[in-house]
Amino acid sequence: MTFCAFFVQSSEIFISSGVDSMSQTERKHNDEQDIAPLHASRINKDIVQFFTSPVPDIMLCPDANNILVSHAIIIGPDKTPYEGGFFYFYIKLPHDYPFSPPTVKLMTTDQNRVRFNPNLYACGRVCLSILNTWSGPQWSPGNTLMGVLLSIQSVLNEEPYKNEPGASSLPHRCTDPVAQYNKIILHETIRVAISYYEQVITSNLCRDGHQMKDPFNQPRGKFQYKQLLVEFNKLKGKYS
Amino acid sequence: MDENTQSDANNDELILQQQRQIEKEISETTPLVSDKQTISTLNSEYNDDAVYCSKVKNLAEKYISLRKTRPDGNCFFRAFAYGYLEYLVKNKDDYEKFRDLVQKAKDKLVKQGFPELTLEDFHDTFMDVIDRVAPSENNEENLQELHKLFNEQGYSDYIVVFLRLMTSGQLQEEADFFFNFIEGDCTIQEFCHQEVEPMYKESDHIHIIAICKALNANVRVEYMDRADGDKVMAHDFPEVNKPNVFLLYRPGHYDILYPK
Repeated sequence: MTFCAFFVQSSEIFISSGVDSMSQTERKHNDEQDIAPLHASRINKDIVQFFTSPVPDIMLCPDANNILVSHAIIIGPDKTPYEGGFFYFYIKLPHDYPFSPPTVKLMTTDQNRVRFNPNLYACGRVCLSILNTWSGPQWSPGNTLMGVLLSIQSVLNEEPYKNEPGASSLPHRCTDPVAQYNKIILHETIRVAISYYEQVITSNLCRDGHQMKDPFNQPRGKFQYKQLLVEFNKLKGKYS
Repeated sequence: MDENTQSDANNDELILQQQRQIEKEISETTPLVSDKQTISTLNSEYNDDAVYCSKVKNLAEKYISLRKTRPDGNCFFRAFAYGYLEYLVKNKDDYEKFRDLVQKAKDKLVKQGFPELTLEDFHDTFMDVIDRVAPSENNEENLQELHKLFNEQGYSDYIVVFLRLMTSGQLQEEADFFFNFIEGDCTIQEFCHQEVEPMYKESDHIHIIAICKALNANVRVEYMDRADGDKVMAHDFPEVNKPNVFLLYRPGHYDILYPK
């Protein structure tokens, strides 16, 4: 519950800072009226799977106003240059779901400035065969929203440079392009996909030094937002 | 992957919009499966084409009528399912065997690795349709029900999905055999992911052979194209059996035929 609240809160930060007109206009339509019961029940099934069989580091938050819209966060997997980063994906299902695939947009791009992966463009475009945006095994109605997010998670891997088809035959502009690419992604992950914590810390600085009053009466000590900020800046300095 | 990204995304959006518009126009003007029409209605499509007109004439010698299906890439599976169920409604013994086959198909596919979560919806819907048209005293009513269900997008498309998955299952089960029929250097599994399981993908001989085998069906396809000659060419799948489903093939499209 607490995490859910946190998730909603943080996704609001993402949404208010990132989502473009796409979702604003969507919200105005009442999409639900046009959806056949068979499609609606299937969509619910896809969503419920995230709560009945959750997968580590993938979270889904269905939009309260539109059954065709969901917000997902994938946390960068350990031992990858994406480690610990929060990547926010805006998901829109077509009216004929599951016959056609969802459209997915990466919102964590520092306003279209960062290309996080050969498959994840700076404009937010997600290139994956399961989304019919890349060659290979195409979307089929047997696939699920969970399957889509697992596919996206799998491109956030240890050596994203190699996701580029034919990467090995590209002209070598540096001696070790795999490592070089990882260094850049690591930096950008910390700068873009983690730094939003800075906002959270800054907006809570006023609590610093105050006693934490636990409703269950457990001893908690004091809020230490200033110290968190120092540590955060140290970390940031290390990679900037 | 090109970094020309923003325009890529916009183009995708435009193409998608245009596609939706075309689909909408087709769905407003063409039913998923039409009422029976006489063979001669085909003439209106080929007014000045001597080759086609003589072939329509030849077709009319063997068949009394046809049902047109919506040209959406799913036409083979929709026409096949409709034609086969029409036959089964009138043939109780085959119906029972067929029902049993489909009933068991879900577990078989799950064992092959298809995800149960999504499979069961398609399977349940297909079973529901099969049960709702079960042979009875009043077959006329069953056939009307069949026609109604096949023209409800939800039911109709769910049937198509399940048949696509069964086709994929059959192809993968006999991958060593079917491998010889596919072009390019992809595996049967890749072929299924790209050409069989996705909706709106057109069907070829290999799809027909596989689904006929999976469901014990015998299909005759009458080929009508611009090739020389004044006769349509019949091909049976499989070749040795008496057909119980009759389809008309014109390049890129299948309709249902009714023999005299």
